[in-house]
Amino acid sequence: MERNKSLLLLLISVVLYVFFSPDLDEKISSYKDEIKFLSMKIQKEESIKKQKKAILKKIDTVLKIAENNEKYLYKEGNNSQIQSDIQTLLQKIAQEVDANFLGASWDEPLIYDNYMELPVSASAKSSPPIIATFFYKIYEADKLINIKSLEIGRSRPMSLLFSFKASGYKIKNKEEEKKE
Amino acid sequence: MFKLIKIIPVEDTFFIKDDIPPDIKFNYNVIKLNYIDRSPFKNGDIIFLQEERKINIWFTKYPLEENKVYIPESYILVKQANINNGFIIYKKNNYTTILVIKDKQLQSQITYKGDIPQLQLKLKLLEKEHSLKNPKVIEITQLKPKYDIKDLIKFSRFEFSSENIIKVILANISVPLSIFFLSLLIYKFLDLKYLENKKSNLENHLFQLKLENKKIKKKIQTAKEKSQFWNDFVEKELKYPFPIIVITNFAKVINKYEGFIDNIVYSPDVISVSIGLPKKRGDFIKDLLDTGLFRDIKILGSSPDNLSKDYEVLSIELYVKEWVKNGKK
Repeated sequence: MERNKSLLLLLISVVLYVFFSPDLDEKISSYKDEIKFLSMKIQKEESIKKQKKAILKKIDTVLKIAENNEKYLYKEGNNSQIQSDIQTLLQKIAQEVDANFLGASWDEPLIYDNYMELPVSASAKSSPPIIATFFYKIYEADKLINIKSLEIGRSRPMSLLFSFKASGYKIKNKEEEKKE
Repeated sequence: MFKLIKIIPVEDTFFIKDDIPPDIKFNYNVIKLNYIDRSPFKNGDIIFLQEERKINIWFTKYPLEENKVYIPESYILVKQANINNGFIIYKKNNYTTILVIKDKQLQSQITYKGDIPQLQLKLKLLEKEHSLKNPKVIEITQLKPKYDIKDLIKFSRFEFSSENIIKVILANISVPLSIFFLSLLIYKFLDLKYLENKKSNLENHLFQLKLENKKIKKKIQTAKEKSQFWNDFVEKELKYPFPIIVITNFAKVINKYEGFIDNIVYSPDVISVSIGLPKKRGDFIKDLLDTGLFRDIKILGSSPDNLSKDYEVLSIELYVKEWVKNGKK
């Protein structure tokens, strides 16, 4: 009886082994192959990561400077608003340095690939040292205002009439890029 | 400890020798059936050894286990003594045994508690009884348990038929073999689970790595785009020095020669000026070039100054030097 039980147990275990083992072996083999393939891919990605991190480290300073520079350009607001801001700024500086601000007009914005130039033409009257201070103050402003052209003429001794074109810049946002 | 081979002490056995017909093979059950009634022990067992026409039977005091091989101590003593005819006197644990050997075969076994009284007389009687010629008397106090595979086969109750061998092998290996197969199956299953888990972890790791690389790539791309943007921007918009710097330096040189500026028309690369300078003057062109701001200066024309005969009015074009070239200042 005891012998029969153990034989039955052997029979069951052999049947189970024969039935399940090939399937398990096949799956194990398949998993091993997949793991090998994944390990290779991981190794490749790790190597790419290392290389890219080295590149990133190198250009990080460039990125920081670029990001810092962005603050000098306008990012928000429509073109008229920005041109109005530029005009207000010019008027304010003229007032500060005691120059006689004669007036301003907005030129058509110039559109480039990634940014827009928003020109404002203006004229004022003052003495040479005040004109110099006026322009220095423009370059000290929070935003980059670039003098694109300038004409200075004498109106009377020690008084100069100057007209100029000052441009501010706006970085195009994605919506504006899409519109184009 | 588990022992497969056991030596049955001589004091725990009772030995008989009997004649048997030739060419008959006895087995344990037949011997037991025919001889057990001659055992002096109530619950004992039987060990037997068949010779050509004789059978040696040792009745044991205690029942014996089926799967072990039992060798009577007296059999080993006979082998150890290695004499043709004689007596072995064997003393152990307050027992004394006389073994009678004739033609190298055990004939009789007599065990006494303590010493044997009138030993010589008893030996004489035994010599006569077994018709021993020139018997030797050997005294053994220390058993040397020596037996070989032939002895084991002789005393084994097992019958060496192929059917029996298979049965025994099966009986003995079926459970370990079952455990082996089941263990192997469990091991494979666990291995599969382990690999499944490892694969999943690797997939997650790879996904994270790809995600990180994508982020880094995007960052690099952004940095490159921004860097390119600024290069292009500076190249286009800030190619020439700020006008106020150019004009201030220009004015300083004119002032040095006690001149005056009448009119300036400035565009980023060219400045057209109308200036008044004394007729007697030094090389102001050289001084202007020395500022490092101009790459070329052209005098377009001159006319007398209406206000002073010592001065003349010059019309000049100054070509501003780029301060940013190929993105570098």
